[in-house]
Amino acid sequence: MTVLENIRLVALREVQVRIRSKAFLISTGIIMLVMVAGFGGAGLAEEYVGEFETAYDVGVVGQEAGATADALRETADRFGMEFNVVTYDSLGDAESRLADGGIDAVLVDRTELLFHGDTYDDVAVVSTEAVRQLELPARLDELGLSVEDLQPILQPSPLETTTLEPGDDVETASVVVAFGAMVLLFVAIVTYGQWVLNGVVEEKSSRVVEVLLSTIRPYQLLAGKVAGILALALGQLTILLALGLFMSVVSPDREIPAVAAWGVAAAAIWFVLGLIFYGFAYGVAGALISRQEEANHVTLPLMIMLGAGYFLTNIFVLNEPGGAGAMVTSLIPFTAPIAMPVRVAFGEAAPWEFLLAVGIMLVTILGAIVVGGRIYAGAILRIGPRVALREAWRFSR
Amino acid sequence: MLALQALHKRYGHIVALDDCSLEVPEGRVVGFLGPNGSGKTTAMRCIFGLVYLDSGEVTWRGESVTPAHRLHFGYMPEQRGLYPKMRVHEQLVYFARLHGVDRRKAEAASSLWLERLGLEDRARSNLEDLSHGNQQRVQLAAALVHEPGLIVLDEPFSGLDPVAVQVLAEVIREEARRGAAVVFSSHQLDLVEDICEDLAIIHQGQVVMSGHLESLRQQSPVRIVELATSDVPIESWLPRIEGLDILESSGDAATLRIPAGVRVDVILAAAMEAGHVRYFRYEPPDLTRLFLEAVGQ
Repeated sequence: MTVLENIRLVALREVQVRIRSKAFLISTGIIMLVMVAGFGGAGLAEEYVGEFETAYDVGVVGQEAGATADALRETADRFGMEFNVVTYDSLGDAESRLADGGIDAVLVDRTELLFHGDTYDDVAVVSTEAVRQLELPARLDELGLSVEDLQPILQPSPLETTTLEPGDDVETASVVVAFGAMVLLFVAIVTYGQWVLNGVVEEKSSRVVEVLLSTIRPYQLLAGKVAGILALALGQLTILLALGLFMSVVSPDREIPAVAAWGVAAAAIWFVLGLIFYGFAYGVAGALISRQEEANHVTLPLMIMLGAGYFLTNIFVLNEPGGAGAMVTSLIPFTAPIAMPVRVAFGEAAPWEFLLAVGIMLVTILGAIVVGGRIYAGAILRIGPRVALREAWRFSR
Repeated sequence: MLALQALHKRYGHIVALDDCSLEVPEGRVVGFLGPNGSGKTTAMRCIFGLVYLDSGEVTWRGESVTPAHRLHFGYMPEQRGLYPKMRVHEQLVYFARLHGVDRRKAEAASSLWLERLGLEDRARSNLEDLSHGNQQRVQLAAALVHEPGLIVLDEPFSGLDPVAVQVLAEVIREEARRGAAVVFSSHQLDLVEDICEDLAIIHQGQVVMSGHLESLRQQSPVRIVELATSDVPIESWLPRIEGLDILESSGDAATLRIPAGVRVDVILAAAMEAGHVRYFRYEPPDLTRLFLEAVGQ
């Protein structure tokens, strides 16, 4: 049995058991609901109204009904709508058709528009315009003018549009993505970190850990647990991204700006790095205690580190993403998982800075695995009161 | 054969293991006895690398034990523990696979063990939904599902009802018959006498006595005499004989401890002179007596 095989088995168990748990299903459901409701819901509704409510069935009654129907169709077409027009011989027929919902409106004698129940502004505007067009030649005749005379007035040359300064669409999108990434990363790392801690405490308090450690090494158990929860977290986030992508396909107007796309990619990379580091840290913290109730004591230092990442990002990066403070915040491994993606979203992180931060983070993760693994090993079999860090370090040898 | 060789372990001022040595041959069951705090659990944990030794070595078939060897070991710790919120069958498969068994064999072996322990209808239940006794059975299956060559059970009988005790005793015997080396610790000496031929007694971190139970009894430097004489109080004649260690006496009966070399006919003659001898037994010490002798009581 190789080390990787052991880690894989532990990770698989983690996925197998958690994916069936109510907590996991509910949290995934909530994420999806929030996505649909908050991000996509409004846009989607708008698009539905715009796309699907542009076709109407309209009845026409009166003299020259055929000409009226043609005018309605043509005008609707110019407005980007579709009118399915039917002519009726009597007003009675048209009204009963309207009453049973077969048509949306009836235009009577080019003077009156009948609705049943809902009134549609679109239909009223199109009908008014169609009638105006139909009656225009006759009215002009009365004034002694021709349609040709009026053409330049009716169709003025389009205005030339120039902007003095480019709009801030892209910048707005960056800030939205950056802020979103900051909040999401913070919440995600705390949440999934807590999962690791709960899992470790469960193994310790149920004493199953002694059976496990009779076969596999402590660091393999911890690494497998972090890997399993990372896989689940990525699964949830993939659902989130897929849903987001689906939204943007359904509403093509909402294009993701290029900078934002990079921001998402950077956020994903840093989420993985951040969760590996903090996942290990939370796991080690969990090894120190034997009861869930004590979790707050041991997670406090981690919350301070993550909180610092959040607030320093708020102070430095959001205000001046290119500044020195922002750069330092995005290089320190404890704060980088939150600060760096935000800088990337602003387009302010140079590639070498990004790579340097990743390098520093990888070295830190290695250190965390070595140091954390030893503390974990020293503490995990000591059931009872909270184990001091120094004691755990000594005990493991 | 499993061998613990001169293990030493200190926790600060506390000496947990002090030159502890023990051998468990394959195909045999060794009862591992000792008072509370004598180092039984620490010694067992050493086999699985759960304790960092100050010195000494644990070997299996002559080789220093490595994680690769431990894949063929089975362990049931004193503090029972499995995943409460995991299905019983999946749990057994998981433990088998951690011991290097491939998926198909792991699933078959898990089903087999559940059937053997009468739990086949609970395979898909979460562990926490089982009764305490049934959880114990699953724990035993988890230690044995990968068909280990060495089986270490720490206090396997504690908390079991008499039926479960019989089931476990039978399983232990069968595993030894299959060729496994089995060592288990217990406080219930009658059970140990019933199940194993070999035993080891640990006291203050040191194995002070080990071997075949019957030869240990014969090799003991003491013998136990139990006697009773009718109508004559023991107090009136027995204390007059010199060099006797009276363990118990009441009315006309007494239990004595004498060195193995001492001639017993002197005592018998004195008893016959004092009155009518109702019974007279001369025996090597039983396990309880051996145990108490070994731990200096």
